[in-house]
Amino acid sequence: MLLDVISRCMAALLGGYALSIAFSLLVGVLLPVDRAQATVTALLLSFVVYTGAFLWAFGVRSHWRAWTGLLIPAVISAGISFALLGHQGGALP
Amino acid sequence: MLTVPAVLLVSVGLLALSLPHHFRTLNPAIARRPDQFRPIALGLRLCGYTLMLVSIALSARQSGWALGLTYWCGWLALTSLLVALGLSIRGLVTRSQKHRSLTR
Amino acid sequence: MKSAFRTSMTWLHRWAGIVFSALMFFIFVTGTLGYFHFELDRWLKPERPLAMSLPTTFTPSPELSVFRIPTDRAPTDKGPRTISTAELIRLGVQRLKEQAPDDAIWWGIILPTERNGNFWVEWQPPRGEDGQRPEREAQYLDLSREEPLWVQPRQTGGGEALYRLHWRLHYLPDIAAYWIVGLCSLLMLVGLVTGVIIHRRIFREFFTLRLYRGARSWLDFHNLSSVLALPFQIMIVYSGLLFFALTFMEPIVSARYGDEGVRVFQHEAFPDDEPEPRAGEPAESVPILPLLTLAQRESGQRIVQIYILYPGDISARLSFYLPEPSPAEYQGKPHRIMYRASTGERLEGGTQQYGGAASVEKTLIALHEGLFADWPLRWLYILCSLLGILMIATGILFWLKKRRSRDPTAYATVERFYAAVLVGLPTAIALYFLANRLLPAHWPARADWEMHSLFLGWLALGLYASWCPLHAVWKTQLTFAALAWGSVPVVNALTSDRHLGVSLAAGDWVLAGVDLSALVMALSFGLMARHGSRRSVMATESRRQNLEEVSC
Repeated sequence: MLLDVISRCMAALLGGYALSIAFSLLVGVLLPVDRAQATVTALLLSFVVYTGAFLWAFGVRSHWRAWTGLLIPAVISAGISFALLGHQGGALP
Repeated sequence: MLTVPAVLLVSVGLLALSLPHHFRTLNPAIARRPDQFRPIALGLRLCGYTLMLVSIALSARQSGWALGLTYWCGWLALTSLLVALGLSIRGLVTRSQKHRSLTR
Repeated sequence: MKSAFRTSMTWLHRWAGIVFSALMFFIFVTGTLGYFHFELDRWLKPERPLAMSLPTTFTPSPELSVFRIPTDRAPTDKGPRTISTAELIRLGVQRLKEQAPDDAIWWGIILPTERNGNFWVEWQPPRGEDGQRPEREAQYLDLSREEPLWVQPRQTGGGEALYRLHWRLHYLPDIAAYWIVGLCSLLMLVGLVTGVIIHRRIFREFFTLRLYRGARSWLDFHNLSSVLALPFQIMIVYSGLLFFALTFMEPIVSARYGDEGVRVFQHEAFPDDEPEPRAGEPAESVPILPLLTLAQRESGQRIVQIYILYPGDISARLSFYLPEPSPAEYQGKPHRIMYRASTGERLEGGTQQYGGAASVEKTLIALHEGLFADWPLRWLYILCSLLGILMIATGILFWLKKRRSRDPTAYATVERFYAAVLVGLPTAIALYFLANRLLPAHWPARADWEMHSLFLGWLALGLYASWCPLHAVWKTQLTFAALAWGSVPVVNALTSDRHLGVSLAAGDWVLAGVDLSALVMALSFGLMARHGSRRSVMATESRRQNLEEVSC
């Protein structure tokens, strides 16, 4: 029980942090705006995602799902955004 | 200046009365009978929400959309606080009398 | 019947709330004070003169816009004394030339507003040998005597130091404080969202307040205070987080900007007018007043502040600042009008031209700070903040009471802790105000010790709470709070000539407002202490249960 709670806390804090950064970054990369506006949008969005991640981490049935549900989308979004960013020479216009 | 909070006060008051719990203060007999109370509650809510929209529009006309909405949120907090406190005064008086008799 | 999801959300709401509850309370209380930090600053610097009355009508000509000078002496038969904006600026520039060092980075001339009431000049001394940027210096103009007198207020952190606690805490490195406050705000946002999820019947919570029902009453208070100001609470916590966006979410920026870093990002997203560097070639400034007339005619508003960057240099820049625009007006609205001081040439810029997302961000920040708010709106901000404080406090009390009803003794330490937080903090803030008046006026370290007295006083209150009998813990804390706040106007009257007798007579409501608010605080805490003597905050339920058992 205690381990479950600690695991969920960690998932929310660390997994949520990773997801909020990676997912907001992806949204910023996909948006058809310049990189300054994209970055501000990502920053605005990141805290919403982080809050959602907390709800997810404590709302799902098992703490394993909490971790996988946060980390898998985080890794995927990070992968896509870095692929897109790298493709365009690291910086969008 | 004070039209927005005044309209809001009436609006919030009507909405509060649409709850049977509070309508009891006006007419306990009707509040207890759902078949009679439901149309009244519906009417009260309709008036309440209409007035609420009116107050938003008034506030926006007075100070522009952005400042008007900011103001409106503030007035909403104040007026509903007043209504909530007003509605619980009765409870406060009767309860404290009961409480006094209990502790005496 | 609750679904599993809502049960877990209730759990999350409870623990996200309680873990940082004391810190949340601290942040909300200091933030609420922050909405009045200009006003508090005047009270905390009693050397500053009484407030001037502002010109009633707007005219672009500084010669014709006239301030009325207050007097704390018997009125003379000459009638009310007045001074024009032009005369104030002449005096200010002259003073800056005399007092500020030649290599000052900027000069500031601050005209009276409703909030700050006074005219003053300030300047930024250059970086010292050690590379440290010294505090800016300010001198206030007192016109209540025959001759204009420049006063330097006592060494105090003033209202700003109190406000700074809101995001900087104290005794901690910047970065640590930002992470702690940021994490606390994040959990607060989680608490608000889960709170909304738990209470499906939010409409009903609007009007439900059942008193004298033990834990139920605390819950009703908690729901009511959260729901009433919910838009405010969500706005304030979310926009509060945005202040820490660059600290928290730095990886987002570095992913896009790489080695270019945060500075380039800020420059691109929030373009500001880059000033020309100091040329090092001295040049006389053109007269300010004709330019001021032009700027006021162009904007149709009264200029409130004048800043000169690199004064005396050929590249010196003269900026006329307009009052803070309301949230909708950020986009493209000039907030300052700039000239090259050596030639009088109008400089481009001074408008806030942000892109879509950036202007959303700026609007949220503006809403958070509420600098644009006039008096009624400022008080509504205060009301919503107070409801926020009440929300946190009643949430704690409800949690505590539920636990106590299960096991009355186990949570004694926790109860003492929260008594020292919820009531001790307001008392400690009163101690800050008292220390401001009682510490020796020209003691160099007094600004530090004002803050130390806040925290030492709080510590002492905490120690007392941990030692005094449990049944008296709330009552004694509340009594201390009432005494401390009640003594604020008294000590003020004994140690300064800015007390209620003077401020009320002169009609200086901002200054009088601080003393009057202290009295209201004292009265509220006093009432609570009396109330608590009949029914201790925590013990109602058990006592009534006892009575019922006895009567059975």
